[in-house]
Amino acid sequence: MKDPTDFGYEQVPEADKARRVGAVFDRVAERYDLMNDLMSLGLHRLWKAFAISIARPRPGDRILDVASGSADLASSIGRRVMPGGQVWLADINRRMLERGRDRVLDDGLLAPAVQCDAERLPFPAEYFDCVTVAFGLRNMTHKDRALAEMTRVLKPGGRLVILEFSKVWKPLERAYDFYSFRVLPWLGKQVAGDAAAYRYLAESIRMHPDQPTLAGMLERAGLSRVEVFNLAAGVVAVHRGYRI
Amino acid sequence: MRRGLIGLAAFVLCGMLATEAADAARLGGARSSGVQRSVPKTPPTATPAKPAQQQAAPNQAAPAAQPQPSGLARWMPMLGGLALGGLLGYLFAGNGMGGILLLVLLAVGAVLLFRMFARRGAQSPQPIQYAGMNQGTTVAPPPAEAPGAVMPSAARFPGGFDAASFLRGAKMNFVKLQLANDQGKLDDIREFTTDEMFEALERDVIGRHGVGQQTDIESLDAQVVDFATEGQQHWVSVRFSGRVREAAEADPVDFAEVWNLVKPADGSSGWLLAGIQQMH
Repeated sequence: MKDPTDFGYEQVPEADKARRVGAVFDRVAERYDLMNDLMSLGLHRLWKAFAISIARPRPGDRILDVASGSADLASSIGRRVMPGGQVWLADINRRMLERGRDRVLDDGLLAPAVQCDAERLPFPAEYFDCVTVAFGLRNMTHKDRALAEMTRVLKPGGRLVILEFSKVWKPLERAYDFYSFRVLPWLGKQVAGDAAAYRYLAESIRMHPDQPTLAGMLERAGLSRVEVFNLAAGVVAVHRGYRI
Repeated sequence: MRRGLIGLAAFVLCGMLATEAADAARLGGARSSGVQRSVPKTPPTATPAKPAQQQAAPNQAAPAAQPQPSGLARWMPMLGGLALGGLLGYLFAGNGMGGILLLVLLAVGAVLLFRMFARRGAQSPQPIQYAGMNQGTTVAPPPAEAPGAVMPSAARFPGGFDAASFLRGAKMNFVKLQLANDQGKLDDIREFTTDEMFEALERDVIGRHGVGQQTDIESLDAQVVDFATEGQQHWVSVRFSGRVREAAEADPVDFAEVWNLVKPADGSSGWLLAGIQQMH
């Protein structure tokens, strides 16, 4: 196989990953928000609120929310950058982006929505004060390229904030595995009618780099003062780095 | 003494807030102005306002088949989140395996509840029966024609009128016009309004003597409540509702107003705002 990459535990040709991730989101788009609440017992709302406080949006800021999905992050950020600021939604999946665009408008905010690949962002260099990506980096084929792109569009002094599943505290590992590989696919089947999509979720979390590895990747992408904030015993982590 | 001082401070603060709120207002000054048309005072559906992505579907001529969650199912995320979220601290504080068992139980319970509600939601249209009719011949009315709904059916819209994208555009222009009004950008207002309406809105902007304001919309819903063709003009009445904060320190308030939009039948211009009608 030419240039294989991970799709959960499966190895697939690199060129296929984006399409297969896209298919997963097309299948679960309708039940996406409900599943997030059920799977995390509502905690994903707190995690996102924490990530926003780490991103520290200020009035007048121009912020890019990559993989914005149903725009949970963008909606809260959009309010905090007013007056004078702007939040942009970007997602590779059209259905998710449409949901996000409508959601933001229902919240009374105007936000440009761009369907694009995070590895090739259609923005000039040094354009944004902050780039956020919540539960999106894991699904990107070349994480290093995506990180480099997100760094490129940051203004000097701008910050990249990544909220993503991470490596859970060792003593909780077995329990977490049981939950991820037994409960999640079953829950996904009952609610979203798709066990495979949620098996992919559990597997892709295991394949995602742990806290120190991802911090190193941020540094290699050209970010400084990289910090890691663990949440729920490392089930998720927020990484923040500055472009100096 | 201290209580007195606090009281005085609160009184002064309230006074300041009231003054702020009195000066600032959304487009049209939260008053009715311009062309007024006959539209129902109450929301067109008995159900509470829903976001466009859900409520616009019945108006579309041929909407893509999407499963709509039942009333209770829509609340499941919130209920699940609220009821179960607080327990996670306990889960992680206790020993791992006991915690995970409880977590599994919670997940099982949540799914069973969800399925129960979903099934009940799916059955709800069925009980509408007519005396003397065989059960097999009874047909549940489509949602748009259900009792209590006075929503104009898709048949009343002219061909090619896509209600979902029309409402999306309407909401965007609603927000844009609030911004233009806040910043006193008269050219932007003129672009979307009839001459008569523009004059009224211009007076409001000039009356503020260049003082800026910030209208913060917290939620926004839009519904088409009327569509008519009169002479050489198409009319659409769009009911906007939601919550809005009209001054930085003010509390957000509920609002509901109908915007009467007009467009020449020959298509020589786009939809223009001709009048605003307050519904509260």
